[in-house]
Amino acid sequence: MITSTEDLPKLNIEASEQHAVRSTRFPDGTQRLTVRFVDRTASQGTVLLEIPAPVQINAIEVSPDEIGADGEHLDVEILAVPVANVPNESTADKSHVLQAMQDWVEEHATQPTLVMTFQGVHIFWTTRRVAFLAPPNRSNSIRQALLEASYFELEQRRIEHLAYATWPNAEQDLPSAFEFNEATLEDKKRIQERFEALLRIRARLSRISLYVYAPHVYPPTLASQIGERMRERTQLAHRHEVLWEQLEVYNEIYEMCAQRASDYTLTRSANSLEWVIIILLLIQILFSTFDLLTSTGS
Amino acid sequence: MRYSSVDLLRTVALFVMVFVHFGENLSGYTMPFAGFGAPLFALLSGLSYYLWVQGQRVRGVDEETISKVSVRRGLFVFCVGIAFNILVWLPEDTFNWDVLTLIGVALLLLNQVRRLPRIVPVAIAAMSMLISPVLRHLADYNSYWQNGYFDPDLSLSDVIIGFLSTGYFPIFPWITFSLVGFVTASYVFPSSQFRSREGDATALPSMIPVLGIGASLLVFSQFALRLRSQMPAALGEKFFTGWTMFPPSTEYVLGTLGMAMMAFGTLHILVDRNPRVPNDAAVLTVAKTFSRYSFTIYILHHLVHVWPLWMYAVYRGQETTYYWKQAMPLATSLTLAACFMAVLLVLLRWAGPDRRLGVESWMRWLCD
Repeated sequence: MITSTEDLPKLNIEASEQHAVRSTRFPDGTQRLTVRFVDRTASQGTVLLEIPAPVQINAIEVSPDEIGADGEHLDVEILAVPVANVPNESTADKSHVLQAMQDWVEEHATQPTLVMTFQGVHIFWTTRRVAFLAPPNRSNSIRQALLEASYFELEQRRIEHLAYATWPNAEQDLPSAFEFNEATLEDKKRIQERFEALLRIRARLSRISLYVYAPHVYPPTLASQIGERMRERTQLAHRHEVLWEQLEVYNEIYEMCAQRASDYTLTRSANSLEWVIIILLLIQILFSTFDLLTSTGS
Repeated sequence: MRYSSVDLLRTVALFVMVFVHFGENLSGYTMPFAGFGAPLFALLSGLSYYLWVQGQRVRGVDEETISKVSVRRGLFVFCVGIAFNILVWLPEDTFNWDVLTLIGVALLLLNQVRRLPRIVPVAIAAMSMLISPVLRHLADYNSYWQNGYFDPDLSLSDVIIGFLSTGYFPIFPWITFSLVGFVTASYVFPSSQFRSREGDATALPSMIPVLGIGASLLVFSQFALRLRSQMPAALGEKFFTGWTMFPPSTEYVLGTLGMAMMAFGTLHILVDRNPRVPNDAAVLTVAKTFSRYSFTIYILHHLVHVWPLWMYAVYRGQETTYYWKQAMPLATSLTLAACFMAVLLVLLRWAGPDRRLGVESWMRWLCD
């Protein structure tokens, strides 16, 4: 069952008190991990998840201080709250815990929080923070499913960001797709770099296709169902498809630019040689004319 | 598109020209820096033409219109040059081939090469340098010059020979300066720089090649001057003929070209690329004022110092050119030159930058 944030009971507490409530409300046994997704070859530390080829990324645990230290890595904070340790399982207490989990997730969020309740498991998800309430014996598989989903969503988001940043460049290079000339020849290197960057973006996007379009697992497990629901809720397949089509347009532009540039460069080399020959012929004509003039002159 | 380095160089060329001409025409004295103004003017004509073309492209003017305007401008400058010869140097010197006719032809040629690979103007410039001594030898250059002045017969063949090789500013080798100016500008100011969007950081080309080539040309010219006596006779007597402006010897062309390139490269680094130099600095404002009206100043300074000589001689019942080169002492002529530039500056500043005055405005009205 999937719910939205509006369905959750809201606590009437002052904003200043929220932090204190959050820090004290989580029951014993709650695990907070800071996870970084790194290339398998560069992976050091406790590996929490291995994403197989073609992605070949490991999720490793890092210290909380390292989070966001560099913009290169994808980082996620994950909070696992064991359901059995919630005091007395009373509705009011559970609501407090859930609210605290949601507040923690939303602390630095810029996107709306995804809230899911699924076979007694409560999940709060944003791009950088994930919290779930689940029985301890299922905690590991749920965490792995959430980390996997988070990685692919983050990667998709990052590729989208790169692709949208490419749009003004593509517009700037659009005239070169039709005609290449002496002036635009100076842009050849820049166009080549942009084309390479585009191919890299496409390669990255193709690497996550296997997960994005993965069929539903049968027989289903709790972890597999969480992964599938996450894909649906984040509209990963649709976003992937749209982005792929958009990159097709970019690709078409740059393929045409590359073709024009190559044609122009080849023609130019031949033309330059012809021009040198023409200049030499003109000089020959000039000498002949000059000779004629001097013989007729005074 | 205005670059302060171009304005400064053009102003230097104007000052050199005015002082040299006043001193020479009024007092018969040749300044030690005579012969440095014309190469600068010719180089800047190519450089400015490139910047003008880029400016037109940025404004969205199509290539055909740019070509048409270029041809009209070239013909305008050429015709003004012919009219100038008739009016200032009197009708017998109509075809003495002054710097204006050279720049007019240069504009026509630059329009043809502006869309061709850079190697084409470079090849023409190099060939122009190489064939000039040969053409002068074929034409028997000295036979066209009497007492140090170009004095051809008014026949078609002599007129064409003068235009190509033996006049004051013949196409060969003077076209080299304009072509090199154009190529230099296309390297220093790549067209991507004009097309880049606001906020885009475009890498500026290194100025080392410009300075290096300039220095090499200068050094080569000095070596050629020193070693001329040890060269084989054909080379030492026909190709390298010493430092002379008339005829423009190979050493002179290489040396002044090198100096002009180095001067432009240095000023470009020190002024254009230096964020600490304010655009409204007094020197730059003065340079901009003079540079904006260089065409007018060229004609005007001749009118104010040559016409009175002719008029006074006619008034005194003498031959028109009687007082030429012997009108006054050098100190007086140089003082007059300084006064002319000072008065001109005051008048141009008073007129303001927005008012369209002079030959430049006629050219824009007629050609653009």
